Amino acid sequence: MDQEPHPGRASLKDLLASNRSRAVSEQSLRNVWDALREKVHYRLVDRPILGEMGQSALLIFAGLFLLSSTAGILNGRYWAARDTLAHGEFERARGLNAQGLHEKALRHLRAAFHLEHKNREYQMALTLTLIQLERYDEARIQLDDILRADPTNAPANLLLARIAAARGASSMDSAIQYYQRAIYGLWPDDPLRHRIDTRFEFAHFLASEERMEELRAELIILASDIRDDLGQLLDAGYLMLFARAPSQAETVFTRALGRDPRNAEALAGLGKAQLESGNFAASEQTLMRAARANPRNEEIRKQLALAQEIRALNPKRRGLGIYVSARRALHLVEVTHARLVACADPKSLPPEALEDLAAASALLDAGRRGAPKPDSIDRNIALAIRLFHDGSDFCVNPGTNPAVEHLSRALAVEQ
Amino acid sequence: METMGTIAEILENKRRQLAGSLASRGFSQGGIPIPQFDSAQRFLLLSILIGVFSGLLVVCFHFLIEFISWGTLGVPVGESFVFTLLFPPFGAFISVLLIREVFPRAEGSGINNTKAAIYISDGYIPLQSVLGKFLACSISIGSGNSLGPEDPALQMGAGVASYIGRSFRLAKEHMRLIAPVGAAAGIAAAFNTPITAVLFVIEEVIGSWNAGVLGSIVLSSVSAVVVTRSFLGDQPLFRVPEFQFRDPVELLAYAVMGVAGGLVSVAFVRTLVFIRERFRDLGPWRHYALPALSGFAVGCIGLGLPGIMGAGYESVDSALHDEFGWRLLLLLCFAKFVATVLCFSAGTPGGMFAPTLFMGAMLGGGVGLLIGNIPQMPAVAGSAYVLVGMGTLFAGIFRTPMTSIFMVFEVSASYVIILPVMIANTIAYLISRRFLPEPFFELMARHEGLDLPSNEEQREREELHVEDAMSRARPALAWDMRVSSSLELLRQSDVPYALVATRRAVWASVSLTAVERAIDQGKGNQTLAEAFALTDLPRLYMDLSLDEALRKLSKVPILPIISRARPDQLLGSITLQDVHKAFGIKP
Repeated sequence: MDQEPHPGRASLKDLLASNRSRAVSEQSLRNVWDALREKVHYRLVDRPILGEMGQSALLIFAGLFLLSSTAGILNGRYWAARDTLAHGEFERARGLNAQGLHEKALRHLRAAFHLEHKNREYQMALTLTLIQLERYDEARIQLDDILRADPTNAPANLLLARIAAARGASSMDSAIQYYQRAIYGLWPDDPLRHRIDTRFEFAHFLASEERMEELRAELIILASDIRDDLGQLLDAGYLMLFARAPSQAETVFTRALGRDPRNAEALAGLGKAQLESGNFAASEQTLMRAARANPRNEEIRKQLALAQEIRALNPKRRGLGIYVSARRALHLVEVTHARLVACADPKSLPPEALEDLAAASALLDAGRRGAPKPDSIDRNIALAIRLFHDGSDFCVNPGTNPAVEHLSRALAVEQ
Repeated sequence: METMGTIAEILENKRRQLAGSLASRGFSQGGIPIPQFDSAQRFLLLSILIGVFSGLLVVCFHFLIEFISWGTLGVPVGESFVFTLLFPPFGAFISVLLIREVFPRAEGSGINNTKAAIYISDGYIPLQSVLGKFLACSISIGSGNSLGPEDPALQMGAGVASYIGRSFRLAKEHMRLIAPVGAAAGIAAAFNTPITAVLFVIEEVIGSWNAGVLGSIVLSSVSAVVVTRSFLGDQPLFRVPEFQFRDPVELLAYAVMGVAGGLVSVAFVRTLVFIRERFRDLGPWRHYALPALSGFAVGCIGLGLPGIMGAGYESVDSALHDEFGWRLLLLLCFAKFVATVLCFSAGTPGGMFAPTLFMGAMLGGGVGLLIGNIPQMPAVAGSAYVLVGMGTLFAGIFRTPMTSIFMVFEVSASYVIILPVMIANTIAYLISRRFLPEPFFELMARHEGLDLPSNEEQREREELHVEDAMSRARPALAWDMRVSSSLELLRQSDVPYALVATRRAVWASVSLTAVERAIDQGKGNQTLAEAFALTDLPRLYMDLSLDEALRKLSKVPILPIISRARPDQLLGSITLQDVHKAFGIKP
């Protein structure tokens, strides 16, 4: 490819040479500039150095470079601005939330989260505000979103558990599932404390729903997790009592008394647990200590009275003479018989219960005619237990007699 | 100086040697080696460059809209009474001023401009229109006018593609197709949806599955999305909560949604056309005053419902996350309807995709929640209705059924939604077709003074096939038949030709004139094979288009129609007269 000499080259060389020999004048500089312009024009337009297509390519790639640089710069500013705006909105929302203005805070939290929708802190704050405002459906969607990204997120699971629990009976299974995931999930800080707190919340939820078996299982693990926090020990102990796990409750209350031997609540709990276990003598002693520690506590006094009543009724109490025991056994038959007669319709009773009723009537008649026989103590106690159970099983409203109830249960276990 | 001159000469000689050696290996003869490709290869390679360019441009466009929005309307939108009321009209005025005074070639719908580039201007879209759309639409959308960025992004992509195509001197046939390649890149970058972009361009812009351009469209869409994702992240356009399709009864609800979507689409397009025509009848003052007034109306609506301002994607996201009750959802749908009709009819620069999705989302959410209140209906996640609603309005307004289905699938990244969307969109599409004689873009093209081909008609045009024209009754002659015997059969035929089966079970033809001449020459007792040089005819099949038959009939007077299952079985024959008859052309 022949190349014709371009007009700019010779004149530029000449000018440069002449500039060495004489002083640079304004005119000569202008000449140099004109020559340069001519050369550039020649190379770009008249005879492009890269060929016409090459020059187009160069221009396009230069444009691409310029555009990508602009995009890069804008990108940095854009994300920084988003971050700043989102943070500002989040802070405003926090302030409003602190003032209890949740509805206003929600608007700013939404704005913050729209700007930074990968920020879990904002999302969590938004969710908590939604829960505050009882917008559970919306909160659930946010929490599901969090869990989709991180299924082990314990706080999100806990909030979902609370939402499910608030919805009532239809969401019980979901609530249990979410509580369990919250317990075993990952907590951002102090996981042990959070797990224990969540277990307590879960246990209270199970107690409110009277799901005793699950509650007992949960409490056994909880008891082993709790260190020596008196409040937690007391809470766990009373939950155990509610879950009808008195022996575990005794252990927990004993641990609590290890921390504070004169704590009236712990003593009362222990006394109640001993009472439930049938350990009536120890219960009375413990409750007396509790009453001494907190004489004004009505509940303790009631429990103590109950323990004393049981003591007065108990035919198997140590140290009783054989005749006293026989009389108490017969009295127990009388009480349980009266309870059954008062509450049951004889027509609806099964033959076994009718037989028990007849046997009790005969025994009571015989007892009125003479002193009870010492060799019939165990037989009479067994009859009293059966009558008690008949009353519980076949009566719609058997009436409450806590002393007899406790005693019958304890004697049944003993027998 | 002499030494310098010598060095320069040596360098020049070396450069020439190098250029010569590179040229012999297929490289450019310029200075720096550039591989030489033919136009088709360049077209394919440029698709990637177009995608990258469009992606970057759309990313900058996105940034600019957001910056303007934050600067004018604040965060959250609608916080300031004065700004909310004043910035939309101000933005609309400035953007129209830019379009009318500085970038007049940027006026009009991006899709129609791209189609015009294919059918009218041999792929030429001025670079000025790219800059014009970029600036004007950033201002109008960023300042809160109720329009979307996708259509401008599409035109920007097409404009960039056109410029690159011109720069690389593509052949005319490739230049015509380069604009859709850029359009696909633009829309893919704006929506972050490569499949939707490909489908939309094929369904709406090109109107057919053109294999020659499909590869390029895919390449440009993918590269544009890759660029966009590297800047804006790889999450879909909307964060969609998880939901499941549990009960087939739900499909009833989606069908109802389809009906609602179809009816609202019809109402929207009709209202838009009506208002646009009324606005066009006003005096020249309308060019500046109407956008400002419509912007002011948007500001007034925005004071109560700030979610409708701009593209409104944040509100769609909120609807997907159950933030609104059904009353608010339907109110938002109506407010957006009014705001968009006003802005678009007034001529404020911006696109229709985002408002369509917005209205669909709100309508879907609202109707869905209402349906959910019916006790017999199974509980369905609100987000499912929102997504389906988006699809129905897209299908109803733009009449691109395939795109509408895949768009919902892509923007939500949810496969579960496909079945409900298919049902609802089909219903909305059919309702729209029933009540709207012309698709939206054609109506808009007419308003812009263009007469562009209708892709919907093109898709559905009934094509004539060989079986519509062929004759089954004509006699076919055997190669061993006497020439004299064939004469009678040929005279009885409706055309002066007949097919002849040769020994090799292929078909040839003889004409009546040739047979008569052979008999005159005393060849009456010879067989046809002996009397004539029987040459094989090309074959046709019943399912081929008449276009194909016409091409072949230009060389021979009659052609055999063969069974595809049994190549030796003749089903009939076709002549030029048959084709004319099928097209209704009288002899």
